[in-house]
Amino acid sequence: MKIDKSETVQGRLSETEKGKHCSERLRRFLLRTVAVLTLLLGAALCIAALMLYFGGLERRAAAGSAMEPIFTREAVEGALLRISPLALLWFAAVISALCFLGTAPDSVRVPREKKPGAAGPMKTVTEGRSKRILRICLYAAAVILLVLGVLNGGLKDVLIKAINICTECIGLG
Amino acid sequence: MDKLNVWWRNHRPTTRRLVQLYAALLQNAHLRGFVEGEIYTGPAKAVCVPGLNCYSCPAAVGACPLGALQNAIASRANRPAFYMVGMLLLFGLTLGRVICGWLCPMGLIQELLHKIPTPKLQKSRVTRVLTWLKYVILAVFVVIIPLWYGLQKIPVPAFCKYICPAGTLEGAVGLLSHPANADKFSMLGILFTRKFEILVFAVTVCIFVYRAFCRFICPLGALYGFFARIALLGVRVDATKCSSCGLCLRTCPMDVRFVGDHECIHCGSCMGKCPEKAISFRAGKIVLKGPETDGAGRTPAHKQKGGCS
Repeated sequence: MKIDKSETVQGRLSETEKGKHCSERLRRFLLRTVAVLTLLLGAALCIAALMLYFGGLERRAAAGSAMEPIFTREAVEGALLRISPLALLWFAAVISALCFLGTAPDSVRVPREKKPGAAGPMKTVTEGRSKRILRICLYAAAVILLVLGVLNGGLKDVLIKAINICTECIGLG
Repeated sequence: MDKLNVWWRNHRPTTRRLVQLYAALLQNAHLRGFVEGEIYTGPAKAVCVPGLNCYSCPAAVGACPLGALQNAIASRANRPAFYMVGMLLLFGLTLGRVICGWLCPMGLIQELLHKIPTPKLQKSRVTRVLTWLKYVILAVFVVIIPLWYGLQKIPVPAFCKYICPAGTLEGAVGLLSHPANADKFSMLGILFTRKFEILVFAVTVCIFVYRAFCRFICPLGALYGFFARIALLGVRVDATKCSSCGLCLRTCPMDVRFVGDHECIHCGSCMGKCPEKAISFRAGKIVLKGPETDGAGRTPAHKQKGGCS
C-alpha cells in the first residue's frame, strides 16, 4: 500500500497544532480557575471572620454580659466546616494545576530588549577604602552597643518579653 | 532511572531554597511547641533571629527583631535600646538584605505561595512607588507610635499589634489550633478579626504578586535596606565587565533600580542572566559565587530557573 508521506506529515503537524492549542486553552483555564478560587476562598475567610465577630457580639448582647466570649471554638469549627468544600475545591484545583503546569517560575516575563546601553550607565555598588573604614567603625559601634545593652539589662528585657506570649502580636489584645 | 534523573535535575531545590528551609527550621527548631501548645521559654530567646519570625510562634527559639525593637523603643523611658540597635547594626552590616533573600522564614513562605500557578502581576511603576510604603510603616508603626506611647508609659508595639501577619499566622494560628489553648478563644475580639483579615489579604496577594509583603509592607526589610551599600555580603556587579544592557533589572522580580540597591534581596537570579558574567555573590572583595557557565560560556539550562545553585 502506498503511503502519502506529505499527508501523514501534515496530519501529524495539524495534530500537534491542535494539541498545542488544547494545552494552551487548558493552561489558561487552570490558571484562571485557581485565581478565581483563590480570590473566592480569601473572600470567604474574611466574611466568615466578620460573621463570627458580629455573631459573637449579638450573642454577647443577648446574654447581657460583657464577659461572654465573642469567638468560641465551636463557632470557629462550624465556620471552618462551612468553608471546607470551597477550600477542598481550591486545593484540588491547585494540585491539578501543579500536575499539569508545574510550579510558577520565580522570574518575571522578560520585556522586549532595548538597544544596548539604552538603560544608561549602570549604577553599581563599589567596594572602596572609605567604605571599609566606615564598616569597621560601625562594627565597633555595634559591639559596643551590644555590650552596653547586655550590661544595662537590655538583653534581659528581650528575654522576658520573648518568653511570654505576646497577646498583642497574636491578636488577643 | 534516566527519567527520574531528568525529573530530579529539573525539580531539585536550588542552594538558596535549601538555605531558606534550613534557616526557617533553625529559627523554629522547637517543634515540640506545636505538640504541647506552648512557646519556648529557654535562654536562647534572648538572642534575636535575623528574619521576621514571631516569638509567639510555638516553635520559635529566638526573639523577633522587630517585636524586640518596638518593645525596646516603647520602654525607652526605662532604658536605652542599646542591645537592639547593636543587634540590628550587626545583622545589617554583615548581611543587609541577604537576610530577606536567604534567611527570612516569611520570605520563604511568600516564595512558596507565589509558586501556586495563577496569572501573576508583574512589577511596574505602581509597584515601585508602593515599595516606599514600607518606609512609612517603619517610621510610623515601628518608631513613632511605640515611642509616643512609651513616653506615656504605655507599651504599644504598633506594627506587631495592628499589622504583622507573621504574628497571626505563626502565633495565633499555631497556638490557638492546640486544644490546650481553648481558653484563649475568649480573648479574641475585633483586633484578631482585623489581623486575620490582614493575614488573608497578605496571603492572597502574595500568590499573585511576588513577595508582596516583603516589597511593600515589611519594615524589617526597609531597615536592612539602609545597609544596602555597606553590607559585607551581597550580589555585586563588576563595573569593568558590565555593558549596561539592563537585562538584570528587567529580569529581577524585585523593584530594583540597580543590582545591590535597597530593594535587592540578593537572591542571585540575575547572576545567570547577565550576558557579560559581570554579577557575582561577594563578601567584600572576595567572590563567593560567580556566574556558572558550561564549556561554551553558556549558563547550564537546569540552573537558569533562578537563584544561586
